[in-house]
Amino acid sequence: MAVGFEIRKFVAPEFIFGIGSRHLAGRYARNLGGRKILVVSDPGVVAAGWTKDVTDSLEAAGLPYAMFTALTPNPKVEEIMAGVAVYEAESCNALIAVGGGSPIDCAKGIGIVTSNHKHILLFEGVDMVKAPMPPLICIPTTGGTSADVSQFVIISNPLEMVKFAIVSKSVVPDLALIDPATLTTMDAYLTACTGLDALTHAVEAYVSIARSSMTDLHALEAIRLVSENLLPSIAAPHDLELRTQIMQGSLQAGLAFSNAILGANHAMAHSLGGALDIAHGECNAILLDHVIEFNLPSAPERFEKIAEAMGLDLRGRTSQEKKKALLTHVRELKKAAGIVRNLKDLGVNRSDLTLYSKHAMKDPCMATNPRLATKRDIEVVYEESL
Amino acid sequence: MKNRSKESQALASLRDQLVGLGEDSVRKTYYPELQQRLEELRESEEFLKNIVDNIPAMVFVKEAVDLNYVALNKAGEELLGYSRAELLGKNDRDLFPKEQATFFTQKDREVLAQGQMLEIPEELVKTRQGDRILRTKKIPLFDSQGKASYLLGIAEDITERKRLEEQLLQSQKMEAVGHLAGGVAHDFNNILMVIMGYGTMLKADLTLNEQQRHKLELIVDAAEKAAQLTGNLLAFGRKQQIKPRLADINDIVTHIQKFLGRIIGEDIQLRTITAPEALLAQVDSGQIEQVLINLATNARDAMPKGGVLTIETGVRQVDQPPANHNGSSQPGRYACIMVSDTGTGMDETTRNRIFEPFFTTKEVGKGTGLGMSIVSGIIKQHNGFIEISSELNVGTTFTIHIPLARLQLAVTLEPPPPAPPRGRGETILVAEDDEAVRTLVQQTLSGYGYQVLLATDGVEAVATLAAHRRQVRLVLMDLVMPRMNGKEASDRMREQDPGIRILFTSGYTMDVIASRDTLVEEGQLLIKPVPPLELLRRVREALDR
Repeated sequence: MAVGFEIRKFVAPEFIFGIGSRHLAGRYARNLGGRKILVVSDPGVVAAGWTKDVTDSLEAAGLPYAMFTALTPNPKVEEIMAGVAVYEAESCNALIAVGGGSPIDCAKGIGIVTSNHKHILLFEGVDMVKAPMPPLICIPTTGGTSADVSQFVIISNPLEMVKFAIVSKSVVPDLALIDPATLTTMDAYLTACTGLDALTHAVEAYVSIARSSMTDLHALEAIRLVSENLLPSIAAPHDLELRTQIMQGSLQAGLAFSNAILGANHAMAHSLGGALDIAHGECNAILLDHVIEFNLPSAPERFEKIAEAMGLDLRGRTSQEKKKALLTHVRELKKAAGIVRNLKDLGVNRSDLTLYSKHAMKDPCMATNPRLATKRDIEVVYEESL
Repeated sequence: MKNRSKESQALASLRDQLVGLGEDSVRKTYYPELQQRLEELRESEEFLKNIVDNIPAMVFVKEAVDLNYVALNKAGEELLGYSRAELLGKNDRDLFPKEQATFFTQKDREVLAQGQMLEIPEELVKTRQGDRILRTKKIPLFDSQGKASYLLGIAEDITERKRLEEQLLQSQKMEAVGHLAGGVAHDFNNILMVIMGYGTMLKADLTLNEQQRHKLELIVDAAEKAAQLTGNLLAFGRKQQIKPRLADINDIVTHIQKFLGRIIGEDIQLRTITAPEALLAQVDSGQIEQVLINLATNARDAMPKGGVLTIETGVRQVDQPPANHNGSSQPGRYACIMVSDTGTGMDETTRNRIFEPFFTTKEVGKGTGLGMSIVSGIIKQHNGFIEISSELNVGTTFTIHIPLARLQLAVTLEPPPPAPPRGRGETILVAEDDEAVRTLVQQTLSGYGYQVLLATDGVEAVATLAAHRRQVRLVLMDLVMPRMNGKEASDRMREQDPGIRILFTSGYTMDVIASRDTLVEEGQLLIKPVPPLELLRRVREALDR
């Protein structure tokens, strides 16, 4: 089926990209009708000082605000409900998220609950959010999450030991202020994890069976930008030029995957993340080459394009050689970036793989994976990643 | 096979949803909810407006800064005579006389400053619809910061209620005055009875010379006039019984006009116009004559420089009695007597108070202030009513309405009174606590051939009867006596002698006696003062029955 002839939707928020854009938070919060703002952030981002830049701009705009920072990586159901209580107690009418995926997903969760008056668990699935949430501005401070432009909310349910996804065009934020300067306080490990997360987004979006010409453009460019600039950026954390390239790559990966959706890589990572509270980016990175290996036979030409975008010259090689070249490149990139642990090192036991596979099979991301996978297939990929 | 196709269908559907092609996929939009809320708001506003409009009291809202009206309900429009369009955005200074607007504004400011509800129990408000009496509550409305930013007013129109209250008060006053007048008249009647009785007895004394006889006649005349006055007092208090008979109003007017001519004097011309048809009604002719005399007297006093007094009779169909009439009335056909003068006329105050007892515009000593209230009392007793129209310096017309009799029957004339009958030595027991009256009655009866036994109260009367049971043919007994009243005494007497004949006397009329629960048949009662001839006639009747 020719991709270009299928009906495709492309949703992206209004966004402002560039160094210093975070200072526009106050002006835009007011333009969106904010009277009192709930600022959702996490302690790390607060310590880095980015949150204060945002609240200063709110004060400059004369807008009162309340803070909610009582959250941990991979936001939990109770943390969201606690945020809802603060939002209501403080009579807020708009939200600003400052941080990585966790504060942004938390803010989205608070928004969903406050306007729909039901527990967050009831929105699991696609298009389950009926009433639009209050105005939401996202200020990402990691170069990987892309939650600031996506239609996804990933939430941990510690009771069931799973992560669940809320997918809806209505959770795409009203505005993203994408400021590369905020990446400069990330350490090498976090830079590596988030960068490889962005790369995984782009790769999965490019081979997704829901891809389109529009998402392809962003996915390939994201692969190119991240591959080229990740290692130099880790080496020179304060180089704004390099950080800008990474941020641009992350943004484009986000636009691609939010519309083309993801695949087995993310389905498996969500499953592990729900049980083990491990960094989403690292988890994706560990799985990346193994999932590529599993999916490659279903879309060899697509993976060839990915390899080219990563700067590999595959002219005159056999399919087998091409595959080997791509996998070697990805593994070397991971290693060079400092991602050397495997799943076993993260605490994953072989005995748990059946359960993880079962959860991964239920993840909506699995629906767009290029290769139809069985539970056993997923278990094998997990085993290879141990 | 089937399962697999179901599975792949579900997968395809999930993919569609993920890429945003599901039926419910929509980018964030508030519009449907906004539409819904606006609709709900409109409905809620309509609902509230409907409630406020249907409250049967004026409801208004003013803003706190300039006190301009921002809301008014339907009852308010009707009460003030302003439409919302005319009133909203204006304040009291634009709508009411200055003094009134100042009062309203002062009260409004007070409510807003104190933040407390204020009740104005009664205020007279000049509206486009005329003067209304309102009971108003003013309530501050607070905003979310606790500032009184609006003033809510609820005003109830109590004009009609006040009018009824005043009417009730007036009738209670009349009732009290009537009781007082009735009591005084009773005591006077006893005294007058003595004067008139002895006077009449003296007139029969042939030893008096001409001069003495003349003086005596003056005394008896004066006593008779006084008796008439006490009669008037009783009439005003509605304590006097009327004796209605079928009579032609035209005849009454014709009969009285010669007499009226004497009352009004030579400077005033009397014109009488009677209706061509007979105006038959159940009336006490004497009372109607009294009404005409009183009205003529008033007319005379209103025309000190002379004028014309016109008395005209007619028939009028009354469908709805006028609101401000004096008396009770039902729709129907009425005989009318219009008494018009060309005198000074009355102002509104006088017109409103004219039927009040003791209200007079005359100089001290010239009038009792009872004349018009007697008129009113008599007409009420005839189930009629009076209308007054008057204009200063033009004249006044009183229109008396008396219900026409349903059946047109011939008028029967009263037979002339027979000569006083004499006794045949019968013994009569007289029980009377007032010594003078007792002696008078004794002398009157003795002088006309009766034996008389006396008792001063009920107890003594019962004892006396017991001692002389075989002799006594009739008991003549005052109803109101110390120790034992007449009614009780009569019960005891009937225990001794069930056939005993008893005749009661009283200064009170039937309804007073009835209200005291001393029921006596009408034929057995003599109302004081009893002229001697009347006494003798009634005693004879009782004995011969």
